[in-house]
Formats: sequence, C-alpha cells, structure tokens
Amino acid sequence: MLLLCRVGAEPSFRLRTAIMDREQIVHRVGQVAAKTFGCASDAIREQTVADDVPGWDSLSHTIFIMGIEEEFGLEFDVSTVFSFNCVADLVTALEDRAA
Amino acid sequence: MTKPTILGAGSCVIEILLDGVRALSSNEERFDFIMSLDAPTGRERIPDDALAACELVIEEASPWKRQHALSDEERDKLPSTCEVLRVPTIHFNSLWPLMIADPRNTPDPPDAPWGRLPFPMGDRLALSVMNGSKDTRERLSAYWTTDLHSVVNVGRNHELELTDMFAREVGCDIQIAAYVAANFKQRRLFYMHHHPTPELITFALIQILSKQPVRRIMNRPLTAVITDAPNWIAERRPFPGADAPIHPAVAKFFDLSWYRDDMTYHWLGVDYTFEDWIAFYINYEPSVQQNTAEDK
Repeated sequence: MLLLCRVGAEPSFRLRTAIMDREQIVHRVGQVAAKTFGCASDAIREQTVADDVPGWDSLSHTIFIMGIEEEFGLEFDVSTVFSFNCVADLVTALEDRAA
Repeated sequence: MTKPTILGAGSCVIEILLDGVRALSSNEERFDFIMSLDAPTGRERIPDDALAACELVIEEASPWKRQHALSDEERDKLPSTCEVLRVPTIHFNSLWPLMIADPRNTPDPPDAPWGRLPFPMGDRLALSVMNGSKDTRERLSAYWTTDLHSVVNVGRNHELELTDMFAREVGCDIQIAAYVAANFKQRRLFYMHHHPTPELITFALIQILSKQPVRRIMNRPLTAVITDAPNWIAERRPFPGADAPIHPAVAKFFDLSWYRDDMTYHWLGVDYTFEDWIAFYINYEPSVQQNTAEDK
C-alpha cells in the first residue's frame, strides 16, 4: 500500500540540477493533496506519509492518485501505484515518467 | 481462573465476523470473546489479562494500520501459542467514486465519534456545486447537468480499486478480492464502500470458520457450522440503515444487473431514491438540524 510508513533514510537527492525539478513536483503534488485532503499544500514534503495528513485514508487515497494522474497527464502502472512508501517515492516515479 | 480469550481487533466487519465465530461455535461457555473496535479516537484497549489468555486473534490486516490491527506492545503480550488470523480490510469504492468524507462532519466524541451530520460520507460533486451556489434549485440543476464522467474517471477508479483490493489481501488468511471482482455486477456485495452485504460477509465468515485455528475451538461439526452461517448472518442483519445511494451513471457504467432506476436506499430510518438523497444532501443545512449518525 502506498505511503503508509517511513522507511529507511531521508529521500536521496540526485544531481543538483534535478533538485528544482523535484521541488516543483513536490509543490504540484502538494496542490493536489490540498485539494483532496483540505490540508495546506506546503504540508506535503518528500518525507510525508499518509499518517501525517488528516483525511488521507483508504477512501481519499484513490481520489488523490487520480488527481495526481490528472495533474501530470499520465497514468501510473497499476502494479506500482501501491508500492510507494512516501511522497518521495511518488515524486521519483513522476520524475522517471517525465525523463 | 480466567477463561481463554478469542480476540477480534479492527473495524465493524471484524466485529461481525467475531460475533459469527462466537455464535456458531457453540463454545461460549469455554471462551471469552472480546472485540476491540476501531473508532476515530482510537481502538478500544484490550486488557492485559485478555491478551495473556488469548488463544486466537482475528485481526484486520489494514495496510492503513501497517498491516496489523494489534500494536507491537499488544502482540508482545500474546502467548506464543496464540494463533492469528488476518482478514484484509473489506472495502470497495468502485460503486461510489464521488464519495468522500464530508468536511463539515467533524467527530464529536464520545457522543458522536463519527460526527453529528446525518451522513458520515459526502458526495464530491454535490459539495462542489454547493460551493458554487446558495440557491438549492441551481445546485440541483448543476448536479444533474454535470456529466459524472467529466468529474471522475469511473473506469480508472475501478482499476485502481481492484488493484488495491488484491494488494490488501497479500499475506492474509482470508481472500475476497477475486470474488468481489467476479461477482459485483451480478450481485449486490456492498451497501456502502466499507459495509459488505450478508452475501459477502457469509463468504468471508465461512472462510474463517474453515480455518484450522477456528475449527479447533468449535464445539460442532464444520458442516453444521457452514450450513448455519448464512441463516445466522441473515438474522444478524449487518449494517441496517447504512445504505449508500449509487449514482445512476455509475450503475449504467458497470451495467449492474441488480440495479433498478427506482431503487431505494435505507439511511437512518428513511428510504431514499438516489434523486431524493441528493436533494436532501444538497439542501441540508447543518445549523438547522444536528442529527447523530447512528452507524457509519
């Protein structure tokens, strides 16, 4: 299941030039989260997991993923959608799709 | 001397399944059956002596709770001989793709842990049109003139929901995803996204009753227990009055054979068609009436 618990260390940042891209993605993910869960968009960081966000439950989760797909104009492979452990994993998947 | 305990931990579905094991085992004299039910304020505490005397746990393996209902501290207090049956969270959002927690319905424990509005769950499209107009006729008109498929991708929602449902039951002792996926169009399996109908509860309960750790505590032949399970569920009447209306466009999309246009849904003592329900929901003013939802 997606985004359930913190695993391992902080998300690894790649090349310096990629940091801005990731920040932009996190920002857009935060905007979708704000629309879905009613939280502040800047409350969403790479380390954020579902437990950190009130209202992020099994019901709203699918809505959130579909909102992300709409925002970024893509569809995730369903076999990977539920393997993310935190927002960083989601951002990495979005980054990979954009590459 | 403390009797051995059979514990249930998780949602109201687990409570019904534990109740079924208790009722059908004919062994209530020998065991204490204890349920620790989820609530917005947290799950009910299980006494230490009940954990120490536990022979069997039926727990909800919700991925939203890190795959276990019991905490690590509770698990440490179980005897090494205690058996654990893991049941996946049983919910299915595909028929209610607009459903979302109503942001106006804040929990108010202890009297109203699920909130005081007469609808624990809301409708995203309705909430959106309510924000767009204060006129109830305009709101209803906006609701009905909006193409559902412009609001939500029902097919994609279903694909994600099915994937999640299969993923949830990995490592569990009970499986329902394939049954739901194969049968939900032909038979009504859910009253609401997390309220299965008697048919699906019976399907899950029979799996539990057939498991060796449960058979060990039974005082009756398995065949008799399985034969009696559907009647017991029917008499138990799980989830009365918590029947979530299905949008006609969703029913059409899935070509639900059990759906009728004039179908009514029972909610807190009232039978609504979908149209009635949406009119009630859109026109509801929380400041005028503060009911307590009796069952989420």
